[in-house]
Amino acid sequence: MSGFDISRSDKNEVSVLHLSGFLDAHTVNRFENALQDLLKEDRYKITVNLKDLDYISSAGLGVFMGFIEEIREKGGDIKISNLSPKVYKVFDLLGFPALFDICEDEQEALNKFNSAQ
Amino acid sequence: MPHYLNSFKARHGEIAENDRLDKKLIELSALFEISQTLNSSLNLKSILDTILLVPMGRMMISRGMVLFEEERYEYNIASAKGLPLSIIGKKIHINNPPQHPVLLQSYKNDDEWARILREYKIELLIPLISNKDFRGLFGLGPKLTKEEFVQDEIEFLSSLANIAVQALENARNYEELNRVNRELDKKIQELNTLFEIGKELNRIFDKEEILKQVSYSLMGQLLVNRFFVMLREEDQLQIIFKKGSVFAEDKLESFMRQCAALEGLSAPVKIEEDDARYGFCHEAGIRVIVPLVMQDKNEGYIFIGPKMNQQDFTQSEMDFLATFGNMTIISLENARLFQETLEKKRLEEELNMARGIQEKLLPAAMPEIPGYDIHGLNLPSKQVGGDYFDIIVTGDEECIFTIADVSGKGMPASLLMSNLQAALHTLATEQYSLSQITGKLNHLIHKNTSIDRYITFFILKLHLPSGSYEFVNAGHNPPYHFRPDGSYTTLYDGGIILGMMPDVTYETGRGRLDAHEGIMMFTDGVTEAMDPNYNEFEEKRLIRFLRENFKDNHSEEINRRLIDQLTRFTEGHLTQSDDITILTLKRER
Repeated sequence: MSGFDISRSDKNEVSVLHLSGFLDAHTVNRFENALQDLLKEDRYKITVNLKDLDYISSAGLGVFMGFIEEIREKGGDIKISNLSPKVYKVFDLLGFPALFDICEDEQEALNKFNSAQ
Repeated sequence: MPHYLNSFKARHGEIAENDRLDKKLIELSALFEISQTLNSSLNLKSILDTILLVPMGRMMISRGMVLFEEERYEYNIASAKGLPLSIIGKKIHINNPPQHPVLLQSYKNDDEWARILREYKIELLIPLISNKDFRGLFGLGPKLTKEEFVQDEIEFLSSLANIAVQALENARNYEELNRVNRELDKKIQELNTLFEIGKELNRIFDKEEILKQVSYSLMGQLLVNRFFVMLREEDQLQIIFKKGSVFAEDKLESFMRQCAALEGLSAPVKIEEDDARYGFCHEAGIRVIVPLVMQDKNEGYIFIGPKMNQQDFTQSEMDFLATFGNMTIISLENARLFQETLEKKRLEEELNMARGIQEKLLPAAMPEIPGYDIHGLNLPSKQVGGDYFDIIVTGDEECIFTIADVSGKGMPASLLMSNLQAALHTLATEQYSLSQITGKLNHLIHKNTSIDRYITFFILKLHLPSGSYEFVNAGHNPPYHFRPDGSYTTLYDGGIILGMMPDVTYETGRGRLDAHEGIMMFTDGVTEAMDPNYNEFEEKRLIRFLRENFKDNHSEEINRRLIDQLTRFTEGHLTQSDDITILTLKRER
């Protein structure tokens, strides 16, 4: 059964969302809600750790697209880390590496946020 | 110097003294090295770099370029050094490409391509020709020393070109293979997206939810974050979903007007800046229009802004959008039908509730009043009209009879009727005259409802021992005071219907009911009952009925027979359009 889970941990200014399982049209609402919650709290520095994500569909990528502009306008960013080769392939095919900061691991993303301050 | 060259020199000592041969050997060794480098790489860029930079370095040449033939006679600058980067990708038409190395300065050729290459200060041009169908040109500028190219050098460069050809061809094939593979992967991704959204849309029947799913798939698949969806609703195009601001709100109105021009669009179309027909869309920041077509009719459009990476939409993406648009409109249409069914069900439930309210407002049983025979009935129509009748015993010797018809149908009529009933029951127990009661009811209804809500109302107070009565008729179908000899009095007196204007004074009519006489009150459902030829039952048939049935029957039987007759008259469609209410009372002795 294709489950999806999302957990959040705040590291100072940066919020890390940890996604696992299948992010597709069926589960996309939960990812959207998690991002919406962060925006409600005025937290715009977001790292999405995809270490345990097994699958992502275009709808899942659509959520990144739907939020990135607003977040960057507020001086924040979404950095994406720990992509498995399979998940990276989808990001790459659809042209995401040109628009999003894709980091090797969570620490690299956190460092980038911290050094940008 | 490589060791094999030393041993070569040692073995051929006397010849090696010859400078020319020495140089040749060095060139050969360079070629050998280059060929190893070239053939071990499938990276086109590094191959191009090698074949340009090696001669440029060895001969001190400041510029060079490689051209590939993309289609017959159509060449494309694939790489350039020492020239502006912007020329890479430039197309040049060469219909007579040289088959041997040529020096452009002395080459007798006035063709446009030769002029262009001279302009770029290309002096030496060497053909790249493989034994398959790969063709190209390899051009070099002047030497910094200003010396001319000598035959040996040209031979060396030709050899280099020959070695390079195979490597270039391999690398290009490899690149092409990669490109095709990637395109296939992308196609699979597109199909996956369509498959997934199709599955998901089958599950949802909520318009907002559908649009949300559509929006995510669109954004993720095409890298767009500005778009809006327009749909025909009640025959007007309306924006039903918007993501990102595409254009200023004040431009919206004129934009919507111009959308009429999109009527004939049947497939997704890219909008160029100078588009003759859809230029207004480009101005609005739109790059692609996807028509939403249902049964050959454009039911709406998805307008899509530029891709976030500024790239053009590919043909494959346009194909994707065509299917995607179809799925979207079908799913929106399904949702609409589903909502309609739901709405119908809700309406039915509301009518059942209205029917329930009305039933409770009507007297559950006829009061037993000695000396009088009373019967009332109400048949609600399908839409539940607002008929009402009531019998209120106000004292040992007095009783109030009332009948009313509230305008409208369904829940609103039932609620107004329930107001009327509550007010009437309160007023009836106070010491008010009938005209006062009616005046107060009128005031109340007028104050509390809009002008299109009104009530026709009849109230009659009977003094039981004497049979004398008073009544007020506020615009209701006048009841008949009927006598056994067939004569009757029509009870008109009163005033206008309740709720039309404030502060109305109502007149009071009077009469006396003697033994065996009676009064029949009814609503317009009786007189306006229709036969299949649209003839109404009318008062004349009612009078005739009363003459035939009134004298010898009890109230209940009279009412039953009237219903029977009306049912025959309408051929079974009695309560098709309006409620039927009859209240009959007879004085027995």
